[in-house]
Amino acid sequence: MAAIVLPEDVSVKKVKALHAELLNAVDNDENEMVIDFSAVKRADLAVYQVLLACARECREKKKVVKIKGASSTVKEQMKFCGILRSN
Amino acid sequence: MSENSIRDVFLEEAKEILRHLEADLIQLEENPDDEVVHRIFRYVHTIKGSSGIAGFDEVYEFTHRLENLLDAVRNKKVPVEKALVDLLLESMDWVAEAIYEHANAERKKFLDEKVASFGSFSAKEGEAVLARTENVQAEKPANYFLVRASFKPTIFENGIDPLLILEDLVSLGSVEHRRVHFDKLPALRDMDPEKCYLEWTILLKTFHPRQKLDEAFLFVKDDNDISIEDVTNDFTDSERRAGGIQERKVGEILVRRGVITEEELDTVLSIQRETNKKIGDIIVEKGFADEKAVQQALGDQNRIKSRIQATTVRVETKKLDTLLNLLGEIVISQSSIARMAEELEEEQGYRLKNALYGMDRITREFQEQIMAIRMIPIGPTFEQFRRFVRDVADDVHKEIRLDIRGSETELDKTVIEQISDPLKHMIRNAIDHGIETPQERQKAGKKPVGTITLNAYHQEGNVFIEIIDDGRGLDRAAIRRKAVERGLIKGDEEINDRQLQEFLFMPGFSTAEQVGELSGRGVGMDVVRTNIEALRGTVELFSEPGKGTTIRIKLPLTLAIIEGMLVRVGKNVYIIPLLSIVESLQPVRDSIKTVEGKGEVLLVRDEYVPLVRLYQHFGIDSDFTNPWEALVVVVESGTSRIGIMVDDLVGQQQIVIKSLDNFITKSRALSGAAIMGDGTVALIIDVHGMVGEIAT
Amino acid sequence: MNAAENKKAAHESAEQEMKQYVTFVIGNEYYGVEVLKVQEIIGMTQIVHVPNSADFMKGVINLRGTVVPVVDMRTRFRMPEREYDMFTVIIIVEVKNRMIGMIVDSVSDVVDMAESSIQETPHFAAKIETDYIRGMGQVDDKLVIILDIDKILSASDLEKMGQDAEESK
Repeated sequence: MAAIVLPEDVSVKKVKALHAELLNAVDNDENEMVIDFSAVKRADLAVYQVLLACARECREKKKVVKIKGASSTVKEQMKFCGILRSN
Repeated sequence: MSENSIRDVFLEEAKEILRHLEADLIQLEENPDDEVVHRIFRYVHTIKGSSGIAGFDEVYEFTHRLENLLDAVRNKKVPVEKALVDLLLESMDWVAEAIYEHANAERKKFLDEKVASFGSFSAKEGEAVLARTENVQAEKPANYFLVRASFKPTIFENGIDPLLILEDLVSLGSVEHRRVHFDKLPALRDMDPEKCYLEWTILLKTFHPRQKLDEAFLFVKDDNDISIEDVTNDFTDSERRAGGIQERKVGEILVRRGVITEEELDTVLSIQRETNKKIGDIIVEKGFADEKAVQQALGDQNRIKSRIQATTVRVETKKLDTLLNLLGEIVISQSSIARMAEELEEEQGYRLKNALYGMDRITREFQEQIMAIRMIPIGPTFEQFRRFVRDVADDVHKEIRLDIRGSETELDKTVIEQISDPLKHMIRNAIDHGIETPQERQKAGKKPVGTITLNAYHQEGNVFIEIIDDGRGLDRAAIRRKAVERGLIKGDEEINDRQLQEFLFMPGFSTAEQVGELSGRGVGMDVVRTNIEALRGTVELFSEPGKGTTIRIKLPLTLAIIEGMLVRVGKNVYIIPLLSIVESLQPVRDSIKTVEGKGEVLLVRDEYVPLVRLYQHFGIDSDFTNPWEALVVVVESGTSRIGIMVDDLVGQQQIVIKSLDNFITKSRALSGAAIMGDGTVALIIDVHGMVGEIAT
Repeated sequence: MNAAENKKAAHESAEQEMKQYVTFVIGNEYYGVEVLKVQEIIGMTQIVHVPNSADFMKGVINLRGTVVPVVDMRTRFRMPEREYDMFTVIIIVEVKNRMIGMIVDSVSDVVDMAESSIQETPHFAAKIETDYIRGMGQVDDKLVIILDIDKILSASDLEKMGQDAEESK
């Protein structure tokens, strides 16, 4: 299954394209969605916000969302935005 | 971490920081550069944070005000002048006292006065520098704020990332509770990804005042919905977070490598102090450096940590002493066994001796390892003299610079502890008698600021410590006069440099014109020498009139175990340290001459050296009275050589030195004793001491 | 009891306090030293003479790995010297954190003495300088001279004696 690979400079400037990509992925038949953060050092709120919306959608469709290659910075940011649970 | 260990870590760390601070403050006076100011600011900042965590509230408040003052200095609003440095040094003293002693009314008064005087320096500061001490006591260190942030939907269009702002906010303290609200977030297909729909509620615990939090939202508070509520009263916090106090060093390494800037380090440190996150994580989180660089630094930190640990070895020396003693006993037992091995038949003896050689090698290495544990760099000891030099120079109205070299040179911990006082003595001497007043110096064509250099280095199994001044040097004529006065030499007698030195080391000998309050009475150079000789070291003076004086201290690297040559005179066995022996020979009759007034000398390879008949010197019986029938061991101390006449050489072995109490003998030629394999005691000849005795 | 009475009572009990002393013989007299100050008592052993030392400084010995200086008490007290025999012992005492050995003719019992039974010595009563005597006490029918070890073997004193010895040579 195709992963959504985020570019290193993903930000509000590229969030429209990301949004479209996510919409496609959400509608496909895969029961899993992989989002690849390997190239990303840090992202901004726009990115996490759209991911948040996507994750919520996937939950309703019973799709599993997997985050791949997230650095600790990114993980912290995701916790901050409520995408990941703080343990 | 328990309460006690937080406190201990803080005390330990504070001690070190205060030492560095002192050194930097003095450097600041001589050389006010931004880097030093930054460093000083950071040190105070660190103490402030740590003291807060460790529960030293008074110190926290005091250093908080101090930090404000330093901030003003940093921003060039307050100039660096002597008055400022004096105040800072005094403040540091207060902090040191406050940290290590119990509170009392005196300090409260001082606190009031000092805080008031800070006000006179930075009256423009926004924050209340002139704090009333009532306020100081009433404020609790930790505050709790409930922050509600709701950003306008078009905020991204302003080029603002709210996430950054919030990260800044939480860097000011630690997040007790956080909630993201996404009820305004539409479904994925309905949302406009370029608009902001999220809101936050954050409960933040922080030592910062409300204003600092406001600052975080400076650029957005106008058209966004931000509210900050002080809810401190709703909380009591009895649990202090443990500080990763030692972890800041990773940050410092990264700064030194240029991977992150100092400003970034500052931010990271304050986050770390308050959130207890790992420095490495914070750095990566804030995007200041990548994980790889941090990992590398961590690796280095561990290596450096062990080095840092080394400089803070605490009173385990008792255990090390025990180890060394035990090792010494092993050496003695070894020599007993070696003796027995000598008495065995060839076959058996051979195998046993081989085994013993192996054991010998191991013991030697063992000894080296133990000694290595006890070795610490002399740097901190030297550094502590900076303050001393400054204060004393001030008192005698001289301008003096202290130059320190060879800080990494390592010495045995005990030795360092014991030379500290002698060094202080000698530095004081250099300040009092060596360096001239600025006027005198200028008249002599020198720079008005005198220099005292402390130098330390290793050479041939010894450590050398030098105290060099560029002052007026020893006044030979005055010393001569004094010596004649005291009847030590006749009026027209020549004295050489060695004799000059000997006189200076005599108790009560002083050529100082006035008996200054600080020194006078030749400040016990005799005491200094005794102390150093007790460590089996030597002291030598070199001087050039008008140019300066150098005092060179030589100390053996290994304290207790040396290679010794056993010599016999009559029924007595003595030990001469192998390192001091140049050669041994049986002299021919003709090579021995008697010089009037000087005694006997022996010709050894084109050089005449004084001959010492050991039996005479010690008043004991001997087999031979004619040197050409006996043996002469030529020994050396510094640049002086003498020949010691003995009956026979018995052998060579490793010996453990046991010190001789001072009152046992007046002879300087004997510095210690050793226990032989057969249980008897053999006295060790102190070559330097003997050379000194011969000279007088 | 009020303060004054308390004090008196304390003083009295201190006086009644029994202390133990190791007694030994030098010449014809019995001397005593507080048992707490005595490390051990050893028989005569090889003493290595140290050059340029005071006359009463006999030398040093090896005490289980430690080099201990030894003082001949007869010489110290300016009594005539005598050959060492099988009764001669060295009493190792601790003075100001240092160990020193005292050579004495022979060792006797360990006795109990109450502080109150130790009387001050009139100046002419003893053969040795009374500075070194804490007092005299009676045990059974023996008169025991209690020595002030710290004074007799104090380093500065020894050094001074050493110097005097030097000068008198």
